[in-house]
Amino acid sequence: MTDIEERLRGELKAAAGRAQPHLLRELTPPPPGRLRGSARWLAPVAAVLAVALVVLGVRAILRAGPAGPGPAGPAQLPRFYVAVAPGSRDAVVARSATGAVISRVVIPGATVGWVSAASDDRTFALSASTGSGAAEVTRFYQVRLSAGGRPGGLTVLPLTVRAGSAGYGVNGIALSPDGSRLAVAVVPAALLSNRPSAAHRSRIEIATLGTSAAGTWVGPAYLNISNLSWTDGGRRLGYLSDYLRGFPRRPDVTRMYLLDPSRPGQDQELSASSSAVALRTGTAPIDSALLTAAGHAVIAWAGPAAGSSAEILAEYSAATGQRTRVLYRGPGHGDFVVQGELLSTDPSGRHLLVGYLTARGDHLVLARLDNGRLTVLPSLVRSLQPTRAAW
Amino acid sequence: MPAGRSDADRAVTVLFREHHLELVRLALVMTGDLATAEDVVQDAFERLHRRWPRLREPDSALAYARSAVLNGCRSLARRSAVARKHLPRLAGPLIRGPGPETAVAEQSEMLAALGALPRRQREVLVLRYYADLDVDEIARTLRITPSAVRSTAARGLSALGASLGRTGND
Repeated sequence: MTDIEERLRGELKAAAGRAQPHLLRELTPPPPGRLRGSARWLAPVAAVLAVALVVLGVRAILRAGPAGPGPAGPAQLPRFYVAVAPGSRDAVVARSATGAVISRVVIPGATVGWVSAASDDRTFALSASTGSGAAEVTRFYQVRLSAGGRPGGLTVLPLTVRAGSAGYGVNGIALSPDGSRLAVAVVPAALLSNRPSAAHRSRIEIATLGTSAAGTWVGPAYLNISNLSWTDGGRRLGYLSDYLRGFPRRPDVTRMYLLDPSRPGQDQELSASSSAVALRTGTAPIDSALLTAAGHAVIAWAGPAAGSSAEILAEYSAATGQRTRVLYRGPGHGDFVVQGELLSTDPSGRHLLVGYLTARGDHLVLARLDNGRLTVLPSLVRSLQPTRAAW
Repeated sequence: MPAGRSDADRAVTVLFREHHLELVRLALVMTGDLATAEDVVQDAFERLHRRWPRLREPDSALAYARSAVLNGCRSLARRSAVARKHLPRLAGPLIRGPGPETAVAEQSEMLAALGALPRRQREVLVLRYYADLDVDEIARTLRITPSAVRSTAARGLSALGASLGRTGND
């Protein structure tokens, strides 16, 4: 090492040493209403740090009940849902009313990843991966349940995702309401875990069942794609996206994008085929969001806004982005739904499958929300990793 | 598989516990002011936390946090430049100046010379000689090629040597 290098190292270390732990601000969330914008993340983090001190349990949280008005009228509860535990070799078919397991769908030799449902309450799509690393291959299957919830044969769908050197993998799937098309979000792991390259593009692939017709929409460099959902009767596909390079221009605004796949083809530009609606969430970050099949609403699980630690599941107008009603509000400071995820919505948007974690919890809780009423469903595994579920 | 907010809270909490001080120090040597450095790091953690649930592979979180901190320092520099440009129209400075206990930039000829380098050279040298990252780690953090790291470091050291009235070679 040269003299310059040694001196530079020494002076940088000395300068940095002026930041001593006792001089740094304490990690405690400010009281409600006084949370600085840049400190919003402290609330959930502090909640996790305080796990051991929490005395309120899931039961108390569930008693909190819905915070918003109920919808105009009940839609029928789907009979079944299909759930996939993290790293599982099978998918579970369960009765929606009770969570009782009816049957299992096994894809030999593969790990099941994602699940999505058509609107007929019988047709589901699954992703399943074999191999590992660059040799990982993900294939897609459709399964139709009998009236009693027993799976028929698996139909292999005309779509394959190969990881390759960039580590391409699936970050969400969506089966169209009529079950005729499957959309897949394909994201390169290299976006984060390796040195990213502009050549490693996330993309949305849409396969039409029973044909070889397929379309690919490629996003700009460094774009992450997630939360796929069909709307307008399967004419448009909603998705969320994040740029992973640099900072978002408006970090307080989440946009739901709408892809019009009416012109199938290869390697079309995603942004050129998409429109967007900005969700008016105030300062609350959107963690997950899905469009209803009818297309009138976006249902989103939002994290705590500034001045609050409450998790909110809310409905937004798909036309204006304005919040139209709150479907569920987790307890605020001192109580603990620390986060949640919207997993699936029925065609009406009135029956939702959600996963959430409480501060006391050691696993993600699977639950259904029917017209604002939360019912916990049996957990497949006691894991903090996300369980996937759809109806 | 993408991570949920449960993973986000835990992962960001762990990252905070283990690397908060290190990242504040990184921001401190880049900005010269402790309070500003804390703000930059807090913003970086917030952004990391917000993005976590929708990330497919939330590995390399520390590298991502370092990048976010450096991005924050750059944004701060840009905002400072804008503030200086419009100073007559502003009621007061947007960015706090260094405080008496934490100001570092003007305390050393070496650090003053470092602060005068182009941003990329300054970042590479700080990551190399303060954070002790190797070439590949610096490349991942700054999202440039390893060869660019090497050439930038060489140019930065050479410029430092020239500024200090000596060469960067033995």
